[in-house]
Amino acid sequence: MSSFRINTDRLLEVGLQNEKVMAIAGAMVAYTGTMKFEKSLLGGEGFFGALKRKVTNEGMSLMQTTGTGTVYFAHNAAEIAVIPINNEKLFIESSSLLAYDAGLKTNTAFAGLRGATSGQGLFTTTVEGNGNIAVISRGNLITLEVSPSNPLFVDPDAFIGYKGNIAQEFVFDVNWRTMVGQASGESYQFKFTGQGVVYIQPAER
Amino acid sequence: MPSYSQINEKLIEVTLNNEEVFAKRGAMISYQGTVSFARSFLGGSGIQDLAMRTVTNEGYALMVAKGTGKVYYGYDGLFVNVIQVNNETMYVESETLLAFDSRLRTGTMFLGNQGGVQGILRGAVSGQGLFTTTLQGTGEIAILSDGNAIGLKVTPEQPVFVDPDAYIGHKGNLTSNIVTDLNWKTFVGQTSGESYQVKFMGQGTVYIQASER
Repeated sequence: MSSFRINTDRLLEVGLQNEKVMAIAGAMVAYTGTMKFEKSLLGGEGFFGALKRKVTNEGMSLMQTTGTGTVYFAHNAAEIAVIPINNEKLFIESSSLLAYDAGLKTNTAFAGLRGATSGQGLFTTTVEGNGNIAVISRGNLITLEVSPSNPLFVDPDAFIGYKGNIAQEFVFDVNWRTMVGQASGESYQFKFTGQGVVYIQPAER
Repeated sequence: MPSYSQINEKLIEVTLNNEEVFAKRGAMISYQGTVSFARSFLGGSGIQDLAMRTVTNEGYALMVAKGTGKVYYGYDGLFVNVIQVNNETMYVESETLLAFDSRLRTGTMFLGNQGGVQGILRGAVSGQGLFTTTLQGTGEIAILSDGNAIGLKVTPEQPVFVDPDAYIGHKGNLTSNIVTDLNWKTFVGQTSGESYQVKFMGQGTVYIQASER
């Protein structure tokens, strides 16, 4: 299986042995060995999956890298983190995705009404299977645990993704001050309940 | 001999002992001691080199700091990397050059000299001009990068391919040429965004940054 390694905070190193890795088009900065880069027309999701991405605006332009050697990916000097997935499902914004094992299955899912207010769209990307996924964040990625006794509230602008058995809802914190224009700047949040982890970045979009 | 030390990833300190150091104009952040700053017209090299710089657009605006004390340099929140050269030639884009001193000889090199037509093509497609700056000798060079810079070793058995937009410089005995990766998808407008790369062969190090211009 392809190996993912972080070489400095902002550079991802992927080792391939006649294998495939998917990455955001244009993210390659260097490689050694023999590599081939091809635009992935359907992103491994089949015709229907690609069509769904188009309509839902969770579009991402992917390329497929095939070969043997080491390939380096980076994007706009953003910090990179590798999240291993073991028979789980990760929900992530397509704009935070950098690269993933070609063995993982991606799809689009309805994210609920929260997307409309947070400006991140009504749909989100799901990744499932066994393998590694590399995500980009502004500042180092922060992992927060959620347990049934301890729900977590997150600012939608800092939210990146989550995995596990988690339900999300939208909560408002509106009082008379908000109404008279004296908002605290934190008028709505995501509330995550259940068991799993939530990923956030220390910057707000 | 001026000494360079890294304060943090975005700031360096240069210690001078009645010596001088050349740096990108406007990059001085603070200093201690008796140091005077002046615009450097010749950048430590002769008239001919200056003329070449003017014509080739590899002109860099340099200032010279002279005196005894410590000078701190940083630029635009970019990462600073101090690279050691030992009797070698470092090739770098002039805009990424932050500081160096007179132990190194500067020059301007026509990319075509290095790889014939391929070299010219390389400068033209990557949008980095047809000329590059060379620094030769033994000493330290401080260069800027967007995100950390990393050096990839090149050996005769293992060539390294880099995206021209992430390339910042190289040192050692390397030759380069451009390789294209075109297929039918490129022609129907579905490019992978990686249609051409620069291939480095020989013995040396190639420096890349974690971002594409």
